[in-house]
Amino acid sequence: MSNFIKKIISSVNRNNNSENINNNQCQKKKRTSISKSIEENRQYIESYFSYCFDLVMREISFFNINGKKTLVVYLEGLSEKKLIEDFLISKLTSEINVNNMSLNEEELLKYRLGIKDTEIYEDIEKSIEAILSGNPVVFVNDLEKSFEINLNTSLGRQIDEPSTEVVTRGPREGFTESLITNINLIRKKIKNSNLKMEKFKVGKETNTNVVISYLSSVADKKIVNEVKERLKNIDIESVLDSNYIEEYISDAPLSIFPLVFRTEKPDIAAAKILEGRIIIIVDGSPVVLSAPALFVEFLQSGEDYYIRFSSATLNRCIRFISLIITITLPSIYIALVTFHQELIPTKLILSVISARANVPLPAMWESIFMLTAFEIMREAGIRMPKSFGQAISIVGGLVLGDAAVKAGIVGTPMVVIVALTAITKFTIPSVELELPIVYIRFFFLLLSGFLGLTGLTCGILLVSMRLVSIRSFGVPYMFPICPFSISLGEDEIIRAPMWKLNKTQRLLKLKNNFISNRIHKHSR
Amino acid sequence: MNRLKNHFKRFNIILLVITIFTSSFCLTGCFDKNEIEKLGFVVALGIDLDNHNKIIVSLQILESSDKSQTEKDTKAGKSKVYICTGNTIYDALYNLSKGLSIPIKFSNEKCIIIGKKFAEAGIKPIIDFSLRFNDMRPTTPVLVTNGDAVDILQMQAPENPISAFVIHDLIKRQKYLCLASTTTNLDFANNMKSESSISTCGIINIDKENKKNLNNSLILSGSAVFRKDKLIGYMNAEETRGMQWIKGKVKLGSLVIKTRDENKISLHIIKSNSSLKPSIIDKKVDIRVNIKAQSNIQEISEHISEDMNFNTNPDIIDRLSKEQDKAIYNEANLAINAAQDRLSADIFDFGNLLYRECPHEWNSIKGDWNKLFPYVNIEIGVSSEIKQTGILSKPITNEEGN
Repeated sequence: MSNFIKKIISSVNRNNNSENINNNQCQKKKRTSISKSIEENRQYIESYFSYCFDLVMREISFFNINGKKTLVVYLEGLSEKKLIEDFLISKLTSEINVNNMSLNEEELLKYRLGIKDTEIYEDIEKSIEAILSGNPVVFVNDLEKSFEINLNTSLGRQIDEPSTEVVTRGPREGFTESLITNINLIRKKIKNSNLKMEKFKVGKETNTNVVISYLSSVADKKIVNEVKERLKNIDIESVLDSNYIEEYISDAPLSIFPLVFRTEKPDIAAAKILEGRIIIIVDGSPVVLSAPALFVEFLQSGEDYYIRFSSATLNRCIRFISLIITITLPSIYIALVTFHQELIPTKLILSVISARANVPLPAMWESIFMLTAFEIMREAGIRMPKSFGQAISIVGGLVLGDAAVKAGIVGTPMVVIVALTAITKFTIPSVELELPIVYIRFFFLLLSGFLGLTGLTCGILLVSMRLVSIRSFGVPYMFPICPFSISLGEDEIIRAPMWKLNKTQRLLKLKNNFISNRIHKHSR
Repeated sequence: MNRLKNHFKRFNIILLVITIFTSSFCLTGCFDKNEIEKLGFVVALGIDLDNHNKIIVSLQILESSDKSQTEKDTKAGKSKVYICTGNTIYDALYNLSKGLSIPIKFSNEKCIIIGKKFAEAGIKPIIDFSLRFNDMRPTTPVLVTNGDAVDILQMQAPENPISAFVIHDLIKRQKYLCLASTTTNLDFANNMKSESSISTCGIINIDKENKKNLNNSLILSGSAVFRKDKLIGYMNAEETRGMQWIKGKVKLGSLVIKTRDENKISLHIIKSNSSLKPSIIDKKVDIRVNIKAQSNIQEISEHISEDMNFNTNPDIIDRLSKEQDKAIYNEANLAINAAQDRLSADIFDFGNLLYRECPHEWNSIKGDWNKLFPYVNIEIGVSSEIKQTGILSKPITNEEGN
């Protein structure tokens, strides 16, 4: 009991402390220039980084000149220790060459350590920012400047194949969490000075680097400006993933449909850039955004361009058919079974009534029950450790399904329907479209359960009206389908041969198309 | 102002959602909702008349097979026949609901079978009943049986216990073979109102003659002839095909012809059509029928003395097709004899043809058509050809024998 009270008290104290820290910061933010004395700078930084055990401050001699001192500040671990020792400490402590004696201290440091002009600061806030980004900063006694030594080796994982976008043919590298690596991966694909990379800082607390990248010769200026403006208008505390950005810049934030495309693969990102789209790379996230997005993009896989066009076209057709099946199959079945039995072939009726003879639930609730069970299993499967995955899927899919049929909770046709629905969903390459499909499927299911095919038709009308009415950065979402365009549709519903694609050029070369004046003002 | 507009927009959406939800739950949207297993699907409807002029309706209804049975039975499917009586068809069905717990649905009906007695009394009630509401399809075939329709429904063929399915397959086949007429309920209604008002329909019977066959089976062969809605007579299978030759409906079938030396050759009909040319001169009706047919040689049986090498002697084909002409002519003549002499009924629907081709003259003879028809001069011309002789160019016997 007493422990508990102590805990409460201590937590209250901690709260007080944090308030103090905030107060300190407020007071000290008024001072911005760097002091001449190392000691003052040291105190300032120390107060700034209070309660940060990983801050390292080392006082080192300045090329052994007259006992002059320097202060090296860095955050431990953000840059490799060996690099700091080799390139900074050992050089600073080494004897100085006589030839260089004519130079002043600033030049000496600049030339000896090879520091860029842009990395010399007179502002202490900027120096602190540099420390935070992981580079050591050197303060010299009697000099009102600080020097950032760029040794940043960001920690990150290796480049490997993203598990969400698996291809059988084609490049296998994927983006990592490091911004620089990701930019390099794109630069490697497009060796062109027109490939622009513009940097923004988003997030008041996290100060995350966000880079937009586009091909200035292809991308539409209006869309580029629109993206920039939306990025600048973002008022957010923290950015930990690209989704934080996506939800802010999306045209219809409340829509269930994804209006910004995402990918984890540099080859796809490069293709999007070449098509005239704008890529948004967020530091710390392997998921890269691309805008404007079209609905058909979510049904395309990078693989479509790495296999022959005939096979790719077949794959695309299968995906379109699967999309329709996975959305409407359960609702069509329900509509037929509960309202329009005359549309079922007689021999099928025979097997359906035999299967459903002992099922206590009405067909609609039976299918809602089964589909919900499936969604639960899917969600559980994602969280499950990989080693369990297979066992659970066998138990969940086979044993549960079979037992449910034998126990008479569901009929066999329903199991077939749900299995087909589930399998066809996996043909859709994009993860983003997965949950919108579930929403629509249940919406249709309820409509057809209450109103039959009439309801289903109304539902399809509603959804297609919605899809047709939304735009992503000024481009109609259903573009090559709804404002129908055969020449641009060559790369959407089918995949025309490469030589033909080259001629018509990829989709978003819409410069003189209908984009002009149609960009919606960002609502936020 | 703009804000007010937005406000109304939001209000509208809320209103829409409320309307959709309340209407989907409260309004009549679900009134015809019915779980599939709680419906009785009628696959065959039989109509008979008992001695007291009451209508006996028999229904073959699909049944879910019991789980306890072995899997083989589950696959075959089951049906049950319900019998009910009443003053009208609907009255009988209404009486049935006293004992049948589920509503019945006619949408998947395969055939309507009419007993002889009912057919003689007039089939108007069943045609009316089947077309009045959309529950029953207008494409349901109507068949007549010599006995009682109940027996047909209750018969279980060994390969398929549901007789409606057997009948359905038989009808499908006869659409091309033309040994029995296939007439739907809508056709009946049209024929009743047409100029000649004669309709024919297939006859279904239980095969009793074939005693070697232990299992009962159904036979669909021949036609029943109706004037208006009353049964007036029958035609056998050959006469029926003769009728279909004239109508140009024969699409498949076999034809046996004889060569000069009385040997038989089977031909497989692959195509036929007909053209009719009517003329009315001074109340004298003259109809020219031109039948065109194509066939393949399917079988040459027995010893053939004359040389049947088609490659060396193309005249043989011409000679055979002349024989074929004769055979078709004979069949057509059978039908004409039956129609004019025995039934004196215009089964070929010439009345309609005359009405279309020479409407003015038709109006003058329309009233006496039934009397006039037996004396109509029908001229038949057949031009047929034999397309293929198969991959055997010479008869096998010739080579082995010599």
